[in-house]
Amino acid sequence: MSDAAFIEKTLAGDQSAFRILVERHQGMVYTIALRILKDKEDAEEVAQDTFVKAYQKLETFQGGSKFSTWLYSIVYNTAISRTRKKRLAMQDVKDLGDHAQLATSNKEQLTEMGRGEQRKYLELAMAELPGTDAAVISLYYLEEQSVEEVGEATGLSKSNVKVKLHRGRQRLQVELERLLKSEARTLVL
Amino acid sequence: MNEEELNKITDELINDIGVVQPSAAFTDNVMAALPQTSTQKQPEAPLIGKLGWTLIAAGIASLVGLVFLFPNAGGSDGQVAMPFLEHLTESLNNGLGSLSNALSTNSVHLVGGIALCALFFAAFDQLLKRRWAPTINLF
Repeated sequence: MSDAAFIEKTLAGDQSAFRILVERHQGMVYTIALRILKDKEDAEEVAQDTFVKAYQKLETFQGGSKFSTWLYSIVYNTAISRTRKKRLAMQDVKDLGDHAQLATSNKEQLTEMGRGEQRKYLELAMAELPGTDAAVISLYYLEEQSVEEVGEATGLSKSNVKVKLHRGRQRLQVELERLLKSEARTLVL
Repeated sequence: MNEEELNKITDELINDIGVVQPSAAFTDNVMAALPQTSTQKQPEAPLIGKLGWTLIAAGIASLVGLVFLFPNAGGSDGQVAMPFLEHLTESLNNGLGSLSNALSTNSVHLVGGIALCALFFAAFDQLLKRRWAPTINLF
């Protein structure tokens, strides 16, 4: 059954239909919140606020875009306003050489690791990215949203989304390399 | 090495991490936090109900019927002989004094006619709205 059918049911007063929408989208909503806030508790709180806001404003959802995109725009904005409240500093991204070369080398090292360890390094590297970059990357690669849809969800222009994707990719490789190098040093010592 | 390869590797890495799931109680917490007030759309209550429109339609039908039944019921000077309207005008004259002096039987007819037309169009509009709501709106 499509999201639209459950939205219709919710609007008709069936709260259990909204539960299905929550179960369907909670993973991605939570992931975006976590990528921006870098804190599990804060992310869960923001994800919860997102669904409550969505429920309250469901009547205003026009259906012009996908329900998921509408939901992601709520979580993105809620998380960003939370970071502003907490005055989290967004780090600048420096241009650091040949990232594609770095990516291949990182990928080779990661392939040699076990799945759990691999995941740990990727999570750590993602946590080092500026929140908005990490959210844009998650939306683009995990949800396979187009640049336009990512822009719609985040309120960023198309060119801004592209810049964030480009910098995010680079930064991810730089952080991975740093983490893997420190791991190698630990092993040598 | 180019941007395309970097894009491909990033895609693989991000999908390796996948979507992070919140705690097991997340859905229950959300459902408990939902406001008790329903998001259900409030149906728009019509200004004039079904009964009202039926009465208006009956009134119009009886007026039309009267005109057809008594086509020659007119005064010698061209005015329609309607004793109840004359009586009404008289009462108004007595009640409102000088203001009602200006109110002739003809003007009462005119105002009554306009009011009837407006009611008729309002009823017609309601009917159209029910059948072709998204496309037609007279007012």
